[in-house]
Amino acid sequence: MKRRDRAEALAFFGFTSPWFLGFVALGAIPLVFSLIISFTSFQLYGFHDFHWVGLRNYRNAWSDSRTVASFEDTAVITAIIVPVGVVVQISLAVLLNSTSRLRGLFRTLLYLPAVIPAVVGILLIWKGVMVNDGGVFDTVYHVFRPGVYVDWLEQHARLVLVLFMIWSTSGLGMLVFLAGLQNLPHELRDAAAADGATSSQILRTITLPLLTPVIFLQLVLGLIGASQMLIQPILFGSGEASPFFNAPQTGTDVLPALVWQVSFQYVDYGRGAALGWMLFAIVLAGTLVLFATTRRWVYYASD
Amino acid sequence: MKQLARYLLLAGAAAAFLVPVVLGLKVVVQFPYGRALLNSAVIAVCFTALSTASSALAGFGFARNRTWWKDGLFLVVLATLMVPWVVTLLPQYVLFYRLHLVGTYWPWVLWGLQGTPLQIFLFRQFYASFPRELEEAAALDGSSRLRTFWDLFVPNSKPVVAVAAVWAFILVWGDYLTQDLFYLSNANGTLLTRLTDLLAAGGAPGVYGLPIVLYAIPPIALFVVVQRHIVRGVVTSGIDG
Repeated sequence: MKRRDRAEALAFFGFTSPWFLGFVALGAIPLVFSLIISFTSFQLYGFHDFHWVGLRNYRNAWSDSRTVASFEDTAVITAIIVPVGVVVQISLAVLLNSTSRLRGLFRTLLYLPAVIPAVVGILLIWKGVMVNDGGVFDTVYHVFRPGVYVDWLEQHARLVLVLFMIWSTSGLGMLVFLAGLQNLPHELRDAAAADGATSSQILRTITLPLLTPVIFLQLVLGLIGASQMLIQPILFGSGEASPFFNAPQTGTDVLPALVWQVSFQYVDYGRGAALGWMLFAIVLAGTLVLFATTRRWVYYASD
Repeated sequence: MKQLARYLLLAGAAAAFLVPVVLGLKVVVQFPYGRALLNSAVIAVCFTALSTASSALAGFGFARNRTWWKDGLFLVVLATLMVPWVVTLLPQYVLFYRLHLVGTYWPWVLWGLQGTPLQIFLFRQFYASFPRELEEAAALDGSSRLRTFWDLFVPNSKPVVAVAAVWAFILVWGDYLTQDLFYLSNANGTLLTRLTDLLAAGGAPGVYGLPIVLYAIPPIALFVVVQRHIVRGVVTSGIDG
């Protein structure tokens, strides 16, 4: 028995070694390294400025107005995108589930924005046609308030970013909820319908409670996704010729984008690492809070 | 002996047939964006192929192996999803910079070897659904783990491989910031960085819109081709379980 166990263990390491090596070299070690340099004043081009400064980077974050504004932006935008995103995903999935014909076509069309590269989606579609002067946003707005000029990216950057994120990320969530809906047992809903319940009653009292595990999953994934919102604020931003050096618009200066800017434009790696770890801590805390509340509102069919 | 001769002949023929292709590449490289296109193609193929293979192996290991810690380690795989990319991005850049790998294809080769959590999850769920008898029969015949994997599991994996590969391709094809950062020192850049810089500098889409639309077509087309399998993959992976 012992030899067989050893053979199993060896086989396991054999199969997972590429992943494991990558995880250690490109995941664990950089993580630790990032933690270490968050306590220093590290600059990339030379170790001579490598001074241990303790918690200075972390403390400065609270006194720096731009960082505080970034925390606020991140909190507000995440608080909007994650729940609203889940609502949109469920709505689309329910709609899709109730159709019988052309379901594949609509599914593909609704998932399409998620497949378009962010560069094309933002620079070409949204910046080029939606929020530019005379674009779609302007046309719709002028139906209600003709003659008023609105620079969407400058005045309503958060709205634009939120709408873009929901537009481009709902596809996958929709598929997940669709799968969840299709895996639900029919009997409860059929029985309720036979008893004369309306479809909205069925939705509210049967379908949604049964879907709470999936909702929980999507909330966690949504939170994680919001913390990776790096390229979108940058591409929507304004600045030099290359988007690499863009500054996010006011109101959309979310933490991931700020970390990027601080690290690569201001080349202040220590501070960037500290901000990154604060972001990580926030994501962890948020996930733990979500996990802690599951007992309250998540209903598993196995209970 | 005859077999060897046959294989040598085939190899010679393949080499002869490939010579025009290689020479053609040299011409392509001289076009204005030829080098950039070549770079984009190489990193995309490297990353897609390597990450799919690595994730398939890892997924198989996590699904079929009989050790008591494999599920715990799988949780670690999922936990890596939670770490924001920007936290590890910087040290990775320092690492690659110090190793003089910035401006080469190596970052994508290494990322490919690492696999991605989502692909590993996909393969694990898929391989976990195979019946035990398959492996037991193979073990009775005396084949090693690797043999079992290659002969029994891989041939049946085509849809999952397609989904995983397309997903990886879509990921790497549109990843502007990574390509810009890790390829910045290379004057030729990748097709995406060159086109994006053009587009961003030009204000309204204008004349630079079309090339980047063409650039966006491969991922969209690939997605349309495999989208049916994506849905099936999501449904059978028991995500809501």
